[in-house]
Amino acid sequence: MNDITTNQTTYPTLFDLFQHWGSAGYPDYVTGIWSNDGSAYNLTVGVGEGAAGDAGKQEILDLIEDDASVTFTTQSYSHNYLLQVQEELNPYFKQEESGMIFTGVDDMNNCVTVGISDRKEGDETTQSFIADLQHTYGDAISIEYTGTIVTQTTEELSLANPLAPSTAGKSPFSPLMIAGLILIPLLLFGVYFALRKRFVPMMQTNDGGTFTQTDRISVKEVEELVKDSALTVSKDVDEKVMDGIEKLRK
Amino acid sequence: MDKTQLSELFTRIQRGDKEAFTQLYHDLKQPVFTIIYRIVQNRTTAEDLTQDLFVKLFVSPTEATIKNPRAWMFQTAHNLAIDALRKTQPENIDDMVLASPERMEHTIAVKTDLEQAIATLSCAEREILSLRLNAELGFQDIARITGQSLSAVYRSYRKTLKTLQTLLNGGTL
Repeated sequence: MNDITTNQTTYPTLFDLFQHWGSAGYPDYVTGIWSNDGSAYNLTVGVGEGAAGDAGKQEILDLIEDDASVTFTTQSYSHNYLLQVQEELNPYFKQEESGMIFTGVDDMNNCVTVGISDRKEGDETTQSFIADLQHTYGDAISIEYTGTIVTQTTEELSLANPLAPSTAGKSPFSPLMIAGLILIPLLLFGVYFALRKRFVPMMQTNDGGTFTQTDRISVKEVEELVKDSALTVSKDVDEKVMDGIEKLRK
Repeated sequence: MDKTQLSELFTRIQRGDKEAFTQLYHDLKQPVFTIIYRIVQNRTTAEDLTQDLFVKLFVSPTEATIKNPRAWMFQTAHNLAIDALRKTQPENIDDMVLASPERMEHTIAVKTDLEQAIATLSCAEREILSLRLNAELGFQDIARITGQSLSAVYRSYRKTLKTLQTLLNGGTL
């Protein structure tokens, strides 16, 4: 909790106060500050909801000399809390399973933007990671899928530079050959997929049941199975607990 | 039940409200028992500890302000189970730190037997799994309860799921 003591110092503009907070730390009633027109002299400052926010608003007005161009708005999360969330997300940064490639505090939308590589959009582990973040932080975070930085190949560079020798139109393969090269493996894979269950032998379990290896259980299904596996407390325990409480009450 | 509702129940229990206690008991007995069982691996002990935990909760009300009552309940369940394990099976306490690879070299013949697959995990892995999926706690709370770092908990959880997936698909480790 930051309790900013200013010793009655006043600041010419909100921007000057903002700069002071930048070095001294933000009061907890501040949720964010942003420019309305790109300049440093037309700023909106977000404050918390309720009495604390109102008191903060008054404190800001008391601290700045020129309050004519200040706009206020109320938001849910303090800037300090969002910085804390961002810090808590650090362990996941650039971890393969998280797919997280950046985080940033978005003052205007009052949340931490979590950038996830768009290559991980369909990834089960990443989706589970995101679901957990959403469960933990709610709307204090916002997920954004984004492309990763791709190193340009020499060929791509030549497209950007018209003076470089171009290879366009000089392919040694005709379009028909290329189509064949793509379609034949796809066709073979389709045939294999359709017949796959017949190829995989059935296996017998200890209790005489059978299964085939085609029945793969996904990680998501494992999670569901474990969730459903919560053990039941016997009625005997229920009775003992309730009897124990009753005796204690007497 | 969210944090606020749970906090309200705790406050009412502190005042000796039996109805609040009954509601809390019915909401949390199953995950609490599951967590304890996954640590001690003995039904009778797990039932005794579950009973102890809830009765003590009513007898000795908790301190007035608990930030996260749900996490507090599972932290208490964890502590009770570890104490019991220390008394009855001290050799298994090491298992809280590291799973023996030998124990994991095991084929699950009956692939649908989830409990059998879970039993091959280390005590720490079983606990993280249950705190996450049965107690529905976030990774941060789990890290606090188990005394591990956030990233260690997350990695362990993912590894455990993969292990179970392999075992349940009839594979070996």
